Amino acid sequence: MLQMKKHTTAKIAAIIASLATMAAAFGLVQYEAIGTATADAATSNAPVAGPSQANLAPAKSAATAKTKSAQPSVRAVTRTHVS
Amino acid sequence: MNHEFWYLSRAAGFTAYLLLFASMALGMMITSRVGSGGKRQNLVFDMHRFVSVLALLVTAFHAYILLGDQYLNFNVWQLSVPFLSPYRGMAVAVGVVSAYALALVVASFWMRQRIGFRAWRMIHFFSFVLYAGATAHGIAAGTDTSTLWAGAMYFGTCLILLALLVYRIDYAMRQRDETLRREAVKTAKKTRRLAA
Repeated sequence: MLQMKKHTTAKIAAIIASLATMAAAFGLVQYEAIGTATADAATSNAPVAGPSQANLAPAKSAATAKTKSAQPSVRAVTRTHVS
Repeated sequence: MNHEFWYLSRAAGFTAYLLLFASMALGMMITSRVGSGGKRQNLVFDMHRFVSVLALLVTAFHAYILLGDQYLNFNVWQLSVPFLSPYRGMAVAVGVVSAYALALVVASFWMRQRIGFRAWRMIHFFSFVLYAGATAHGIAAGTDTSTLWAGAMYFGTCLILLALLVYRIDYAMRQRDETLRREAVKTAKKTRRLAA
């Protein structure tokens, strides 16, 4: 009886550990995806919305707008970000 | 676009891999008696079987949760039949085959009496190949392979299993030597008795 209780406890612990691992991994991959997208946006000089944008010359604004539209989504970045 | 299904699949993939690692480690602990001697043997064996089933369930979740993904729009066949996947065909095929091999190994737990010890043992040896396949699938198909934590996980788990395997082989050799020594002593005693 005691042995069976021990086994059941160990199995429940294994299930809880698995769920915790999955939750942690979910957070980690989401963090990585957002981090990668942010880093990519920073290196490609993506425009940041703010008052300074309004002061840019029209030609430059058009160029940056094009860059922004060409930006891959968070998902695309993470899927192509492979070794 | 909703990316949650994709993230869930990746998270489940890592969990399934770690469960597979735990199952392999527990299996080798049983056969080499590492921390599983005496009363604990039953518990370790039960957990080995349970963790294997859990690994199979999480693997199925890892694959079929992608049916909800709207980016690649997988269908059941692409996730179940090797080489049909539009995403990294070869790497996904290795994963699919490894998943089927895992299902076979798990099923063999309940078929041991029917198929016999030798066949059961052969299927169990196959789990090393399936583990290698799962690792290759994780490295080649995973989008997190380049991260430090994923690399450390693959390296660490493989290193631990390799150490357990070396210990297992050494244990088996020691056991064989011990059996041979006992037999030699028995034979010598018999010869002496006959000579007397």
